[in-house]
Amino acid sequence: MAFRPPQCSSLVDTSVTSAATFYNLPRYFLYSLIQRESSFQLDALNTAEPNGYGLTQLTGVWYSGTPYPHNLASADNGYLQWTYDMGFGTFGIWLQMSEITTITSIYSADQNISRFTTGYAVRWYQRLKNVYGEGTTNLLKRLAQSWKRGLFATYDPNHFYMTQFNQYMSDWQGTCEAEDGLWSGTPTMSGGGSGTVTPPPPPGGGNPPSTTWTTPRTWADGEVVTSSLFNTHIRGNLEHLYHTGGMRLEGVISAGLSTTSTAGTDVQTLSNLAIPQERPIMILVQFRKTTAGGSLLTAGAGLKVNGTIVSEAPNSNNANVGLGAMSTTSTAESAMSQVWVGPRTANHQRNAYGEMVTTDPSGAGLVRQAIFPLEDANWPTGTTTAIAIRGKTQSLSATLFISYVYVYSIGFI
Amino acid sequence: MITISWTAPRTWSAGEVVTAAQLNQHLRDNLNYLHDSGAMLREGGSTTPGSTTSTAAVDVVTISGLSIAPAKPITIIVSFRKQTSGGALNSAGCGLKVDGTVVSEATSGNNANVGFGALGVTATAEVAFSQIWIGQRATNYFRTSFGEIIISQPTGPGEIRQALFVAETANWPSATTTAIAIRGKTGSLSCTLFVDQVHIYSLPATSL
Repeated sequence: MAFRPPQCSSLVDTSVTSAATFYNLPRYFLYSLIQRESSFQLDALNTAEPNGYGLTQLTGVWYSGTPYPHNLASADNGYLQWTYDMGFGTFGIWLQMSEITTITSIYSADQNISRFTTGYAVRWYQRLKNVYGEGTTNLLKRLAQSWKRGLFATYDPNHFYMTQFNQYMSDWQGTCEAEDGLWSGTPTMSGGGSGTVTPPPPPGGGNPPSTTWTTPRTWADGEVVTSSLFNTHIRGNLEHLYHTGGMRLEGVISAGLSTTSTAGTDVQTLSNLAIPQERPIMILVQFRKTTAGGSLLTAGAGLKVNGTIVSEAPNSNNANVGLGAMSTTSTAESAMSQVWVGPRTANHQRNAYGEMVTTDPSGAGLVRQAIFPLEDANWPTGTTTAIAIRGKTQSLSATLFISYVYVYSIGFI
Repeated sequence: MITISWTAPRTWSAGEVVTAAQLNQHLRDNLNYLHDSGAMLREGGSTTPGSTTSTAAVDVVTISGLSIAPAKPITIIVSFRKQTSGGALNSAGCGLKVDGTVVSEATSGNNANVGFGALGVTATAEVAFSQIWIGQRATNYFRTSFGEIIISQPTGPGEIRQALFVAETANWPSATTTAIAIRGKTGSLSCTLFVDQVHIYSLPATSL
């Protein structure tokens, strides 16, 4: 599972990754800039004049105009005000308006990133490289600061904007390079055609999800299928199902592991998850205890998320926190717990509930009860990447088995 | 983990020649992904009401032709109700039979909390909605399941909300589940039990 920053949804990440590939820009730069500008909020709006819009905060009609800069209906490379805005008199003609992608929805992830890239980042980076000849990291920092402060500002490495931006670059560059390789330092306007004046198409794949279902077309013999039909009936409907459909299996464990530890410990771990914080989660866990006789023989299960113990495994009689605990009896018991967790947003990081039933392994039910799944800490914000099932027994004479774990996420658009 | 990953669907361009590789990746693999990891599948059900006045438990609605692997969790929702012609002992309840095994017998005990539960011993009509969840059917876990029932007046407020023991009578069979019957029983012949709707869903469970 490829890395993405905690606040970057899978939807935005698809657009970032697609644009990074298409324009040959490093993902860590796009992640860092978008984090700094909008914290990955698609609808971010800065109402200070001139307004800033969307992921990259397109600011000023020379960047945010629709469909072309200055709201021109068609590209005009000699549009006087735009040539002033772009500083051609000072920097030379470093950009053609005809190279710039059009915008119909400024809050679209694809369109917003494409406009930032084609209307500024690729060509301005090429110019910075020619002028300063520095290493890629320094040039990317200059690129970010010019975006923030304007083309005419003198670069200040200590500018306040750079503190967080540099931190994001530092945090994410190594991880992205480990996955993508070192960046070549040669961004392009159209997937390899540097210098073209043909407006590049939007990056393939990074489409905003279709929020509506289109009744699938009944195809006829001999008809010529069009790109529009494929995009509506295949791409759009697939995206709709992916983002909204049912319950998605995020991870499953079907190999039982056990513990006799009387201190809470990780028994089963699902890693490499990538569940956006917006998607509700449902977890099913089947666990049991066996005993060697005696008393004080309960065992229970808890939850750890991204390294945070949100509810420690309990080991008191039929406890109702975490995933619950079985009784202190000397007989074997089986249990099944189900936990529902809502979107992990501010003020709602404890919104969860669960149920637990304990039974004789091949007999009647014993206890049914509601459980508090998040008793010790908030469920972390951002992407859920790892869930561990904690376990704890009351004495070494009890053995806890965590046998089956299912983690599902639920459509949220 | 699912081994076939989701690929952001391709934006198709006018005039391009569509290749087999593109269709395999963007159509076949994505459809497989959605089917195997993204779907809570309706395996079967019934919207044709069944009814009984029997004071002995009987099959009221049977859904056959299922094929649910033991590793797949299952959830079942059942809407049922009773009508009475007055008198006492007017409860009715629903149980569950799986592949010929009664895993929880229907009971007519007042607001009983086993199987799909039972309605109250009242002379008035009542309706109920029950949902049960069953985990993986494997050794030591043939009974691990739970459910909830809500009982209300047909057009009035809720009356009872309670948890259910689902597999109270016997283990859920270990093999692939092929048939599920909703059992029913009334407290007296003056009471009629209707099982109006049954919906059976499986949850994705295995890697491709």
